[in-house]
Amino acid sequence: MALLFEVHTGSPSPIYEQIETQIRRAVAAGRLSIGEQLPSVRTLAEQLTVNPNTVARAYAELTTEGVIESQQGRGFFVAKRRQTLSEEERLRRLDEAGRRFLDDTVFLDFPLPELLRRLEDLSTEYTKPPNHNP
Amino acid sequence: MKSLFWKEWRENLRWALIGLVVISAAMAYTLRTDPNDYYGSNREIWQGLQSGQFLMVTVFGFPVIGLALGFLQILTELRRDQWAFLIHRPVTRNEIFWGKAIPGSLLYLVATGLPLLATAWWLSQPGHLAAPFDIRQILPGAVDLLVGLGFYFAALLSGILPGPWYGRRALPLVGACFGTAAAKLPEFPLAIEGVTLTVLVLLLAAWAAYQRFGLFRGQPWWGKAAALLSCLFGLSVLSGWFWVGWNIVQPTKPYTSTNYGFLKSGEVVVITSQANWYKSVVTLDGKEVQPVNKASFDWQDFLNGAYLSIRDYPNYDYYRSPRSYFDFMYVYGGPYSWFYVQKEKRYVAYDRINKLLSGYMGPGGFATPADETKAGHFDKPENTRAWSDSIIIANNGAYVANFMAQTVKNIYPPAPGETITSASQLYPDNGSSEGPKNYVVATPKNLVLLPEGKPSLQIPEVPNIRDYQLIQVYQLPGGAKYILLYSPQNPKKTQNLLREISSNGVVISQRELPNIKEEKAGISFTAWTRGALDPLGARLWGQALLGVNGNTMSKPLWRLAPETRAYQLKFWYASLAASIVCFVLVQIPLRRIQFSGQRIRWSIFVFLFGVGGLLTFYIVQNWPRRVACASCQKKRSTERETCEHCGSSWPAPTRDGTEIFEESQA
Amino acid sequence: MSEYVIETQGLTRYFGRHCVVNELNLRVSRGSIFGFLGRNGAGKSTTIRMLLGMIEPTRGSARMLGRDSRELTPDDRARIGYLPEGHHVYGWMTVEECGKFQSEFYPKWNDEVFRAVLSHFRLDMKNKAGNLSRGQRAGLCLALVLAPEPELLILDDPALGLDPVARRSLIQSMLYVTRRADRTILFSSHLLSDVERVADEICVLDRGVLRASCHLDTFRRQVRQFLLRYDGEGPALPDLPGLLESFRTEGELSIIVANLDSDGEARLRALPVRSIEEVPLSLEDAFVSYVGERGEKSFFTKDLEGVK
Repeated sequence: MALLFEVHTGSPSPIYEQIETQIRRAVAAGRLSIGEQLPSVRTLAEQLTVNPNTVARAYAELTTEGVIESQQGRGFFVAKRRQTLSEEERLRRLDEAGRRFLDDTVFLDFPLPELLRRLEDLSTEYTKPPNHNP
Repeated sequence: MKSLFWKEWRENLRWALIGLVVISAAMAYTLRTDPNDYYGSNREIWQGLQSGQFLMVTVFGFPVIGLALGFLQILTELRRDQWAFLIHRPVTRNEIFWGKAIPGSLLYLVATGLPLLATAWWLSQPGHLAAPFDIRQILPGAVDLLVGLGFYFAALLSGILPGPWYGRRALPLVGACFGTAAAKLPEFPLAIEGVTLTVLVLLLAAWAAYQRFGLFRGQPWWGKAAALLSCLFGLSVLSGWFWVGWNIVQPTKPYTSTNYGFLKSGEVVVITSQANWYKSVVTLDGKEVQPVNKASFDWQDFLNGAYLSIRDYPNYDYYRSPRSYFDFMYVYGGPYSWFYVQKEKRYVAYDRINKLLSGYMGPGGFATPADETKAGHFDKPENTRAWSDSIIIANNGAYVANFMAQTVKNIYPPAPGETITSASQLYPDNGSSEGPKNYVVATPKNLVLLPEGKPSLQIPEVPNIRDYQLIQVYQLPGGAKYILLYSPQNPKKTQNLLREISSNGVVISQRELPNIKEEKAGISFTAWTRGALDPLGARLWGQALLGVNGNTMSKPLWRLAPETRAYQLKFWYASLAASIVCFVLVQIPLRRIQFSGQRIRWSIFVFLFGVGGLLTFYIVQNWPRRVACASCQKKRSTERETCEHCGSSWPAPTRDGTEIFEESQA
Repeated sequence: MSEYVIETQGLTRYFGRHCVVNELNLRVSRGSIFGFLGRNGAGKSTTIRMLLGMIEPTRGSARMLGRDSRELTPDDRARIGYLPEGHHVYGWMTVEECGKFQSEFYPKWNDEVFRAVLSHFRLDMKNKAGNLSRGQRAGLCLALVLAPEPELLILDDPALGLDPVARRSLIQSMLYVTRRADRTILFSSHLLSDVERVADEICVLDRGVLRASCHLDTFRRQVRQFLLRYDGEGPALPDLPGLLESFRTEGELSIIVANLDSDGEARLRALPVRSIEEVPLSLEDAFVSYVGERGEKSFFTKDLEGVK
């Protein structure tokens, strides 16, 4: 696997969260395709030099979310995209992400339409996942 | 364990080798021969392994080596993490201790024993020292070797004890000096017993201390006993040093002595001398005698006599002195150094230049080594010295040696059945050693005067000759008459006896002289204090030691004369008083709960060992810190869960709401 | 096998009148990587020494692998590895001799592990230990302590003085040890980045008192930072029991609080301010405020106007 994760200590974001985020982003951007096998807990832990329990936790959260799935005896694989989160949760996370985006950009003084247009352009970098089930 | 041995050996070998070099150099230096000292009397090198300078190396150098090796072994390793590296290992504490002690002791023996043996071997070879060699001369060095080993264990012990340097840690080092003091005891059995005891105590104390890394409680009983003893030894040495210092600081009271003496006229006077000068000279009637034509008297104004000791003095062997084996004859002139060797029972000559044994001289005269039987042996009891004036008293005569002429003369072959008690030369009164050689010989029945070239004079002895211990023989200038002064063994029973003898051996007069009263001073306060500080336990132990070892100069109580015993017992009472006071005092701390179950043991200990015991009790304990109790405000031990006064436990640390505990942890 | 490899009960140690470790009740589960945190002088090294039986507690007790720490037998010590702070070795021994010396004490010595760690740190067998650099010495000590494959590994500030590469190797070795589920590591460290990487559970010792003992995530969850923005004077500080630290500047008040329950959070959000925002906290910042000085600090720019 050519995919390289990295973690930063001293960040406000815990390590398991960083791993989760990177996997999520990789799946969303298509760098990890459906059905692709993820590194084993131990392998990834060694690669990142972190406690395997941390990786295990990240994998467990992603499994709960439905981003990845565990196949008995064989390891972890990228799951078919299913939305396991409730509508409320989905909206909450969207609002959180939105606030973060606005926090970061408000001082740049772009008018809102301009912001939306840039977002649209950027989203083309994320390949549209097939079989999207709302 | 083997690897611990290897590690300690490798780590410390260089120190031992340095010590070896230093000791060897020091020994060689003290035994160097001085080309200017032809007669061999400077620095007394003839004493070989027992010479004063050589023994300085063993008495001081060996302990220094022991201390250095011990401290280097333990102190360099005590930096916390280094110590942790050694301690946290699958080994028992015993292995840690012996892993250090055994290689360390061996290294000590290498650094000190090898030079000692090498020196002994070198001295034993002919041609190296113009003096006899007896293997027993190595005994002082050997005892000092053991003393130094005690210092080694003291250093190991001192290193592991916690706390500041000036307290409990310094005491074992001082205690090791107890061995140094014991080594100075005259009799070898006493010395070796004392030194062995010291070394054993320090070894056991060190071993036990390593079991608990310096804590007193929790040590095995023998470790505690050894720790207590090592403290007691240390305190006793400190008190010894104190008294030495005290005496030095005291203004010196000049020593005066009063004796009978004789003016040149033969008149008997009472002479009081102080230091080296004559304080007063008084006739028997009490009239003061003044010196004629000068300011004060000197020795030439009085008659000088010969001293004949007629009492049997037991032969004490002072193992540190070569005089236990041979005597140096102070002969100025001739090619040889002369010695009287007890084992040989004759004189032995060593060439001053090539240092080889060159001849023997006995009743048969002088003989070369090849021809030695010609010289013969003096018919004397075993192991007796040649006491004075180159006169040998044997069963078959009194022999006078002339070392320059290498001849021996029997001046008095005794009659059948007669024994010779004592003999001396009567020096001429003009102070020179030239002139006729006159002798006097004492037998149980007679006193025999032997003027040179004249017939001998036999003077029958008084019937109660056994009551006297010393006969002083004086000869008037010109030989007009002889004066004999007898000193009694027991001044309370017998008086001095004065006899005047004519020049042809007739007893002119005989009368008794009153014994000169000695001022018996009372016991000073200092003496009482010293007596009180010597604990009962030490006194009892000392008595046991003297009782077990038969022939010692000091006598146990039951062998002393009644007056002496009564005097000594006064000090025993002082000790008893001190013991009782300390016993009472120690009850105060013994009330504390940490001593429950131990009160009787400690009380007995403090009673037996008095002031030293009380101090030791304080020093060895691990006194727990005491802080004020939150409930009852009294001081409570930090080591106990509940307060010994009010029973409350320790308050939990205050919480301020920021504590984060998970279920399994709280 | 019992669940806890290390258990202390009221462990207390005084140095003189000063209480250095105060009624410590610590439990370390088998298999965990346990970070032992605290400021300098908080009592960590003293605690570790008591655990290993090198000094006696004043009161209380500690049990290691089920045995009282004062009575650890040689067999117990064979199962416990200890790497003290100073990375000490006998300077006159070569690396090879160090290994030979050490291996004779441990029946379970694994020479492969020894050589593997040595080669990882690029250590030459023939080198004298005294000539090694700090990082190389650390590697040697690590090799010596890992080769006997101890069940319980205690590391006292192992990364002290190490360069980043050596530190990384150290962490990798620690993770390697816990491949087996029955192996436990207790380590004390000031480098929170390392702690963040490897620790499952942590505890915090503050002036001799245990103030926290939990999973690392729990600690991070329980210590939270909020930023309040306001106009004018701003509100008085709310009375929150777990308040650790607050910092007030013009128009802004940031507070860090531990154990904020829903009631407390409600009171916080009820304050008359323009906005309240929770700001994620790094482990280091959380720790610093947890053991740092309490109370309000402030910084007003208008105070500086008079300063030339």
